[in-house]
Amino acid sequence: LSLGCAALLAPEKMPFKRYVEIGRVALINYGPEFGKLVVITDVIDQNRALVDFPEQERRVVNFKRLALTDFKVDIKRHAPKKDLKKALAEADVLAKFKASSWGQKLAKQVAKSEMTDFDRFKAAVAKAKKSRAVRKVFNNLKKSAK
Amino acid sequence: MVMQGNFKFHQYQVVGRHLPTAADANPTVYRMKVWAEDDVKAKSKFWYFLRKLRRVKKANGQIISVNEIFERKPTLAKNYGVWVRYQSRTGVHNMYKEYRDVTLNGAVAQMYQEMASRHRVRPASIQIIKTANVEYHSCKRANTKQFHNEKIQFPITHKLSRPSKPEFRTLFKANRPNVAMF
Repeated sequence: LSLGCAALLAPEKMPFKRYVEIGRVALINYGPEFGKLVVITDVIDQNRALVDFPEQERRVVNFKRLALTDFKVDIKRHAPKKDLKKALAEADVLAKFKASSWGQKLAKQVAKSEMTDFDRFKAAVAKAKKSRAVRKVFNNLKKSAK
Repeated sequence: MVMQGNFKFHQYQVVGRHLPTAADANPTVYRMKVWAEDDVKAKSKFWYFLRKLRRVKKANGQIISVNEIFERKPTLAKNYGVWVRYQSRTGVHNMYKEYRDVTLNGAVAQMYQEMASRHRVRPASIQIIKTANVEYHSCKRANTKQFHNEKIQFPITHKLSRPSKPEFRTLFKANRPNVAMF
């Protein structure tokens, strides 16, 4: 089915960086499974993928619910759980995702939502202390600039 | 089963025969695979079709069993071929349609949706002649064949920006949605 336009549609020429492909790691961003990382193990049609992850059932998810990440593991189409686990461990996807800016942002959101009132008090005190220190230096600079 | 989903049409196996008579103590037993919303409608459909094929009707027949048929491998993407006979505004036609799905129930649901949207045919006017799990090399439609690629790769070109829960929806937004995926 290789037509002339196939060369024009090559990934190198496209502005897109993240592709739907077998092994692509994605985050579910809507629905009851919000926040779960999954791996695309097969593409059913243009709207749905078969998705899998260790400790999760293999299931169908619509692409509208998936946010593709930068990470991809090397698995065959419809890989068994054993191979999936091995590939994920080899690529160390979970750790890399947590270290990425996206993962860090998510972790911060989780930490903030789990804050107690005492934590919020401590944060407010620390913020006030920091801004006091900054203002002190700023005022000194302002005075010496006059 | 989590995987099966919520389908309107279910597949039933209905087995029935003519009532035994003095002339024929052991009538031939017929089995039909029928698509219906529930087992009551499945039995009704069974008699409807069997009446057209054999000299037996509900009044002089008996249903031996009705069983729902479930998907064997609901986590495997398959190609389904559906042969359909439908009544349009001007006549009766046959069609062959192909669908990529994970369950046969899902593929049949897609068929009913597509027939309604593309041809304005309501479910009552559709008869499913045959359904089959079609081998990859026997698929006829380019739309199904394009997914028969071990190294399938395509971008999602349009980012869907929506709150993660309906309760987070707001009437007004500070910024226009950013739909870029790159």
